[in-house]
Amino acid sequence: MGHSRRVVVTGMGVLACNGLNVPSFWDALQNGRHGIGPITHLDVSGHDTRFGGVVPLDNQALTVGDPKNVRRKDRFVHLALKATTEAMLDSGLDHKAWKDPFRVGTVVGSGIGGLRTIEEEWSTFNARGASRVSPFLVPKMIVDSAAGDISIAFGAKGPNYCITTACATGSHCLGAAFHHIRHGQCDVVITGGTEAPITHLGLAGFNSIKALSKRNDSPGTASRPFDRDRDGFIIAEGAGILVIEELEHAKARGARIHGEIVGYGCTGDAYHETAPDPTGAGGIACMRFAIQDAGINPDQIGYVNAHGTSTQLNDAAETAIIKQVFGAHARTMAISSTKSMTGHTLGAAGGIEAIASILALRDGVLPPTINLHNPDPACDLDYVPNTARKLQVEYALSNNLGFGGHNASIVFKRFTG
Amino acid sequence: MDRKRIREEVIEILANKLHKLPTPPPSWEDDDEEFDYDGQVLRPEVTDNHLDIAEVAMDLEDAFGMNFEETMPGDAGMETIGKVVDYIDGRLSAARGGKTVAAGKREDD
Repeated sequence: MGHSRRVVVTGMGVLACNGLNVPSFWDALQNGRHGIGPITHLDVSGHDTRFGGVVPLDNQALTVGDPKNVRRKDRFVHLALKATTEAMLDSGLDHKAWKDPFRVGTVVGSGIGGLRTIEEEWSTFNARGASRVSPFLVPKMIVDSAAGDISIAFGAKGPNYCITTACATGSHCLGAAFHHIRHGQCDVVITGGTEAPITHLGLAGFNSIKALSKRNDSPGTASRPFDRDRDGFIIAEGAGILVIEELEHAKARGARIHGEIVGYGCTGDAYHETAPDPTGAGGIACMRFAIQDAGINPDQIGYVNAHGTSTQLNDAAETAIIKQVFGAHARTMAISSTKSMTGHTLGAAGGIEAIASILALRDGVLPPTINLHNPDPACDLDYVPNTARKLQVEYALSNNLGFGGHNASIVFKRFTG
Repeated sequence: MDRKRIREEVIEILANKLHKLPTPPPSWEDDDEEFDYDGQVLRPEVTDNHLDIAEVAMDLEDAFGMNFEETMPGDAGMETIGKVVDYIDGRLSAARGGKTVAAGKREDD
């Protein structure tokens, strides 16, 4: 497409149920290791689903800086701040010495925001009245607070906002951040997604729409995207944060470059609150726009990190739209769902899966879809079942599709200079 | 509750929430306090965040069974920790004796 400003990834940070930093997360993905288990921090005896993908650190352990900050932030912000700290360290950028802080952006979203805080304060309101509601309720719960707190912690004074598009949140944030650099507004953007939805209302709400797996007797095999016996997604928490940078800016400081972002597409289904459009028109157009934006042909994509939620509707619909977009090539390329190991981190998924895609390109290893033992006839493509595959591909595409009909696709390229 | 006990409880509540206030000594029997808690101005020395003040005010109200109403810790009359202790001590004493106390005044002023 002839864009003069190229955008590269120079920093990554992640917290997921199967990895508390990028090295441990990547080791888990390459070895097909999940982090899904019983929920123990809540009394979940009254819920239909009693397991999930919990990050095994309490809020005190997640808190960055002064330990007294623990009560000031909701868990989704703690997750974001800790992942950002890893990403910034990885990038080698010194946030105390920005040349121009107004050219450093922050685009970090969450699908839900501070749900636990809302629940706690609603309990306080009911038990003790309005005057006892914490003055921290609003700044803790609002969904933009991760982006705001990251900018405060790292002195980023450029574009600052969150995008909230349910499960597509992280991908939309990354796409918008990519555009800020490509179009010259920023040299560096901190971007990605974060989520902490494992609360009573989170469980009850997703269960009431029959979205969650109820495989309580075997949590580790419950996330089984594209498998015939899948019965819903696994609610999970986490954060995936990337530091992305204009190529010449990164090269000038000798930065280590993990990968390149080359294309972004986004569309809306305009169909239903929670169900995907059966024609797949929105998803098809989304992937095509991303591939066109990258200036490549569909058959140059070697790997798709699928949305792959493990719900009956999504996995069959996503398979169908992949076939529409890629034609015969759909049967020759590799597709996998890392949600089989992380669970579905909702607004964080786009950030976490961007990191998985970039690592796959960088290291020539495609992470598997675990628990795929009985393929669904409607899901008949190569999903890299159960075992990672060593294969060097040049381009990867990451999909995330959100309730409300929000579609986002990102194309990554292996960085070769 | 005597003033000494009120002071200890106020400091513990404030130190639990406010970044710039050091953790109080493990034993209040030690008279060798190295930190001048009483002289600390709530804003900006102890915190520059009005949300912190609002939250600790609620904690103090809960702990001592009172409402600050119009005058909050950090406002005129309760600028320092020592004056907050005085105010609470005065309110509690007045409640026992049926008198009212304005911020910045002691019952015995």
